[in-house]
Amino acid sequence: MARFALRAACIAVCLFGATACATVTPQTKDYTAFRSEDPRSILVVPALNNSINIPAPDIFLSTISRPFSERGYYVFPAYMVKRLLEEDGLADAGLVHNTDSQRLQPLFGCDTVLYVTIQRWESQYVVLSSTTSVEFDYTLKSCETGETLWSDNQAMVYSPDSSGNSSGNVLADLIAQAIVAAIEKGAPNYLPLTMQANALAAGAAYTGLPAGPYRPEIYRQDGEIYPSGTPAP
Amino acid sequence: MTVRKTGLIAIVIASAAISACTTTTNRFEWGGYETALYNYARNPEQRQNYKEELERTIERGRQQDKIAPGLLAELGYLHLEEGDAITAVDLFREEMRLFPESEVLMMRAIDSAAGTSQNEASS
Repeated sequence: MARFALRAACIAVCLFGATACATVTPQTKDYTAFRSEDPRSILVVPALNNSINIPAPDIFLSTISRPFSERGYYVFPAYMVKRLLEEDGLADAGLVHNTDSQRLQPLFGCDTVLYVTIQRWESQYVVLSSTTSVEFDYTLKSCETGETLWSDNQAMVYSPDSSGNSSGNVLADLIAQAIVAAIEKGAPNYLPLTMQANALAAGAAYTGLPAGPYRPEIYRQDGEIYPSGTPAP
Repeated sequence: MTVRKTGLIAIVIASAAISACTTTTNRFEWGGYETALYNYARNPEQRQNYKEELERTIERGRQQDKIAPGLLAELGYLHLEEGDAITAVDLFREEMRLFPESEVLMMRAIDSAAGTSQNEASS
């Protein structure tokens, strides 16, 4: 019964989502620098944490490799890289972020470095509702030139209010909402939110990364979606 | 509809909306790698579980020729940390074979592993 509801919801939203995507904005980014560099690999370094949540970067670490690999790039093993940087005296993310990407090339043999800054990573609980929100800045720099090839920002909010699911009993609904909010506060859904943010950053049309060499079926054929040249005013 | 399912549906709806706008691809086999690493990062006692999940995921990836970037290296590194340099080197070599972009890092790791086993042999 729940499965059917989920499936129906998925299909309904996919249809809606697909229509919504058909009217996506025109180009907002210039991929000239990215295209001329044509990188094959991405080194993700530990995230810089500007949020109030201490474990945020470690949790982030586990969700960054997949979406960027799926775009067709070799992404270096994130956890191993983190440990090696620590051994090299670059344990502090701030220090790594301030190090030239060119200096990481002899250490790792990377084409690019992906720097992520966690701007927000928090859960706010207000009696009957709770909101979990994350915000990340992504910057991809060349290991060859140190130049920024691509950058992006993703902000996601999740609020599990039980809207549209009234049991008909006001008191029961209030209790249900409070429980959902408490569950959310106790174990906030950081993981799926972060996965969504990373997936959008890496793969959204017009703003994400062009397909990389491990996606030969579309590699270098998506110039219309990720165009070079300054956007028209 | 229970309280949990409401939240679950909200996540699913959000995911579906987003995946409609970005292609949900399966170029590589990821298994439960992300969740296992997430759990290990939060709790070092989850290391064995992380290691086993890597092994399972890599094996599934091998069968489909879709081993994901970095997984072999991550497993190799775990073995290296445990002092098993031989297995570590095998895994690093396989990573390098599948993904030539990893050569600089893998050669560095292999050299380091060889150093480890030499130290152990002479001590």
